[in-house]
Amino acid sequence: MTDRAESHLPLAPSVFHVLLALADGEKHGYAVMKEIRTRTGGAISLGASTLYGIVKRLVEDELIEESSERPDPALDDERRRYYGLTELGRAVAVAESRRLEATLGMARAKKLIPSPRTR
Amino acid sequence: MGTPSDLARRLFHWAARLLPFDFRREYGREMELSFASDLKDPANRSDSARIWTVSARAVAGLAPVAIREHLAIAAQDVRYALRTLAHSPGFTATALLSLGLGIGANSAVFSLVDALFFHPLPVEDSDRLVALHTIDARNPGFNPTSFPNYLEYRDHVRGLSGVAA
Repeated sequence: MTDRAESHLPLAPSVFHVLLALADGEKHGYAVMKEIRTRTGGAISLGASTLYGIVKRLVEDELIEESSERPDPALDDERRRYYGLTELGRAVAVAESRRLEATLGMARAKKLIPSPRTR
Repeated sequence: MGTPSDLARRLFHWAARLLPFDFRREYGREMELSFASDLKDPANRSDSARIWTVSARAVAGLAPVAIREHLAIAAQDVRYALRTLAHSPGFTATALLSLGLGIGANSAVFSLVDALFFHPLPVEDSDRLVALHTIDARNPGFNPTSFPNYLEYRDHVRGLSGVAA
């Protein structure tokens, strides 16, 4: 699984953010768009077309899948399709997080950014 | 004339036709729903300039997705064609030969037409150029002219401004 996950790295930032948005549960496309926009303070703002281009590729690569289960009816919008991470998708998100963490470590070693302890 | 949101939705719907049919069938409705929800977002609804910003971002985002999807389909078609051709070497050879002959014959005809009709001969008043032939009762038709005759024409014929072989 690790080798298969690492074959997808490095991820484009927008792709990584889509996986991150789905890491804590299934969401429909618009909820993913909103979460990314809110979490990044608008720095990454995906349009509907860009988002579904990414969704299509992630579904084809088996990193996400359409969910057959519906959320709480009170929160559900029947017209929408919900997506969730597959096991491989979660492994790819973890591998990319570790890769980014290692890169940050290098930046800290070069004193480009302070380490968490000295902040 | 609708509201700016209605116009933006209509614009997005039409612009989405840039995407391949299969993509639209699979994700088109969801994409338009998300776009409409984005327009209804309280942060966007109050300001029509913001609506157009959201629309411009969505429409501009369509182009790279459309190009990538169309290229992916083309690549898939090429791979399929190559696989099919690899499984039928006889058919492949015939197809390549036919293509080669067809392209070669077309090139030859076009080169000839180009030389004859689009590139006049490098002489002054080329439309007044004539060809000289020899007629002989024993050999019907137009026969080549002998070199002594050519010299005779060149040096003595007054009706021509010049003669070349």
